[in-house]
Amino acid sequence: MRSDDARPLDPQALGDHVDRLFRAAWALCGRREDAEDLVQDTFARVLAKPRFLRNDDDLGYLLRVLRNTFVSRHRSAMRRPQSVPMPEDLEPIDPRSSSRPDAAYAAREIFAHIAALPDEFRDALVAVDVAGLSYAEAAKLLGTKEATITSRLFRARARVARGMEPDRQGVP
Amino acid sequence: MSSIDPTSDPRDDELAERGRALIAAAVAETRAPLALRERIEADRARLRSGRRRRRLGVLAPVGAVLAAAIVAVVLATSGGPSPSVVATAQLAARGPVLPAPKHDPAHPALLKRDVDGVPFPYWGDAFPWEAVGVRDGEVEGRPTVTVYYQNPKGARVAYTIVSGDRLDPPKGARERTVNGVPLRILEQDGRRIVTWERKGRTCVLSAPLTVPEDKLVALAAWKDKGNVPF
Repeated sequence: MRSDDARPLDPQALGDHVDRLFRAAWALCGRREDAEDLVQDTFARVLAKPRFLRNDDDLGYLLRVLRNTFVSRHRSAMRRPQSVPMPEDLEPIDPRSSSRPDAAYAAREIFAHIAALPDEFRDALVAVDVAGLSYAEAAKLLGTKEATITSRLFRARARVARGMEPDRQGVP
Repeated sequence: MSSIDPTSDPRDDELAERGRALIAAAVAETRAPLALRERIEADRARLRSGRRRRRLGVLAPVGAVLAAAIVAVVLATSGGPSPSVVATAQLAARGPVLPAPKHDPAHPALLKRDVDGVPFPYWGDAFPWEAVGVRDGEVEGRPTVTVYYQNPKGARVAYTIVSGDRLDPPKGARERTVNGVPLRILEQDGRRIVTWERKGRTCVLSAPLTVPEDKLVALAAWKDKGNVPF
């Protein structure tokens, strides 16, 4: 049910958020290909019917749908028998989403490390450092306090840096 | 008075700052691929046209004669109600009646058989599924072609392409996107059915439930780096 002060979400404006959602999706999934599918599913879900928001926080709304879609997909995947990767899954770096191959490699490693973090650390880091929400917006999105976001961010960043140290490369 | 956390790393401040910088660099370097933007735009266009069709349907009880005439015109031009995806899968379950189409050496990812210019894939190099037979059919006046593929364990899947405009998606099907391809999945009568579009034609892949869903959707969405036209 929609309240009187609700405004319709403008489908034309959603394109402005594709980059941020893609990065957030990659950091959640850990794989670029899965991130593309997740973002496409998220947009399909949002566009399936008119949406009404009570504030101007389109990005926060989209991130919430993205996260819910990720969680439901993850649960479904856990219920299905696990399969071995297909040949196409074993492709090396795909530089399509970056201008430099070395940077694409580093980004891929970093997103994989973020995806491997404990859920609460990963979610805080995705909301603030990857999607660009403020601490207050992230706290609202994740249903927690700003102080909690601050502390989780600190630990998450340190874990990512530790994981990227030369002697720990490839151990997310 | 401050307490000392025995689990803390004395380098934590430095690590956190380095982590922040690494993540910021990765974020600055990463953009959504153009292909993803195109797929989202295609979905948006498809949904817009679907809404227009539904609006016409709503007019029928309200707009009396005029609306009824509009609906009649729409039905006449679209050839009547669409045959169902489930009926297509049921037809395909009957099995092959002709030998398998040949592999197309000029296009290694394809077989030498198509429907309205949409060719069937050749999976033999990428997956252990070989084409073993074919059946030509018809569902509510629309020609269909089904190619049957079999793996070394004897499991068989039926891949049908329906001629003409796309079919309405089956009710109650789950949505799942794989490799950029929006798929609809349902289970019926002991078979798992996956349906999707390729170049505006409806494709239906069905198999016994013993074939895992992940395997079936991977076959459906296989593009071989763009060599299989979608």
